[in-house]
Amino acid sequence: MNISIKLSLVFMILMNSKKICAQTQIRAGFLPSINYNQKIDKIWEVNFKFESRHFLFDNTSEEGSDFKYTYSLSDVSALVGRKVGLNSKVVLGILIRIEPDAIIHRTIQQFIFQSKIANFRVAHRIATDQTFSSNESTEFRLRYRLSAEIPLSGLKLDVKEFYFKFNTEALNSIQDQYDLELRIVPNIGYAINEQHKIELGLDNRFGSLLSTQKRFTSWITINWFI
Amino acid sequence: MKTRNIVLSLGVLILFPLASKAQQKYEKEYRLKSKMIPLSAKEFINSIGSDFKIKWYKEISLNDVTIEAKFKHDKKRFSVEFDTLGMLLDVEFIIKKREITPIIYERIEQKLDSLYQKWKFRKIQMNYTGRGGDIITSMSNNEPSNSIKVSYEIVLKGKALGNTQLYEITFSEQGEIQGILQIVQDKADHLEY
Repeated sequence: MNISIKLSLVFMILMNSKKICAQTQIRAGFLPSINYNQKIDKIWEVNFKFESRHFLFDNTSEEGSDFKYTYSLSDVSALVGRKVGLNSKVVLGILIRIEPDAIIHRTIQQFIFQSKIANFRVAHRIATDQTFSSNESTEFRLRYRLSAEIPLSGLKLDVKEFYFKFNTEALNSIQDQYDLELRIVPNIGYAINEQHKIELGLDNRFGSLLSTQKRFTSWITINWFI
Repeated sequence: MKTRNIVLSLGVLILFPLASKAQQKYEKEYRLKSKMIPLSAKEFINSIGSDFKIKWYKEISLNDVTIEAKFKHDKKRFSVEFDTLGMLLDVEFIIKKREITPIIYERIEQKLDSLYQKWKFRKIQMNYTGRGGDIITSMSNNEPSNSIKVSYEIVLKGKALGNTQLYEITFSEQGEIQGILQIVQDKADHLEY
């Protein structure tokens, strides 16, 4: 292929990607979380999570620069899990979303089961949730998440070892109309000891996939599991 | 029927301590480079003649440290264990339940029925212990020679008094229980929540 044709093609792709970017709402920021899990007995466990959102980039910002720090919200959740099989559990709980000018409530139901493929552990999560807020109609979601852990040394993850974790999730939601979101989240984690793990990752969310105005949000995540 | 249930329940109660008091199994392993492996261990593995890649691990358990080679050979997954000086300890390979002699399999089934209300195999491994040469001969003949010791290492999901756990049970060649270990499952909250 002639070099000028190649250059023209690259130019056309770049022009189109700029058009696509202009149509897509792009946001990026930090998403730190603390995740505390406690076994009550052989069957029951509780999980508490705190997560907050901090935007650093927003291309829909009406102010001059797209780069600007904005605190968005904090989520606090409490879940209760009951083991229903050797590797499966049912989880119920609530989440409270604290926004600067509103408080939103969410009820959560999950079924989680684990399996093993070759040397890595895989967890499947099928979940439904309902989000209630005073100024919007109730949102109902059905989601499926697949999480895989690949130990980076040896056959299984041990203390003081690194691991790679990959989450992918599809979220169907209905709030006045149907919507679809996909999440792809690669993480690098480290098992500090039996109790603590720390993860650094990139939480990529492709939202409003069926709408003409798509949303893309990318978070740098720091997760601390206790 | 009622008497049978009482007898079965008593049987479970008598045998339950054996199932529930199983020691716990802890293991930690690291990948090793081939150049770190004692020559005698490498020579033994080479004599098996596997065409597949050999993966070497250092395995640390509560009692000892060993070196393990994992590979595929003759459509089977092998795991060969050496001490840190390269002395052969045992050879294990995954088998299907139909590969166990029917009379021995029946005996194993009976023992498991007496230990657990419900059980399901996860993995069956045949274990050869003995002289390296005899083990190689047994592997190539696909049948253990008289000079080596054979045992079965079975990983299963077992339910005893309503509690389901993973166990590793070692059976002798004759189908007698030699040891029960409860497998400790690693925390997975970072995958689940």
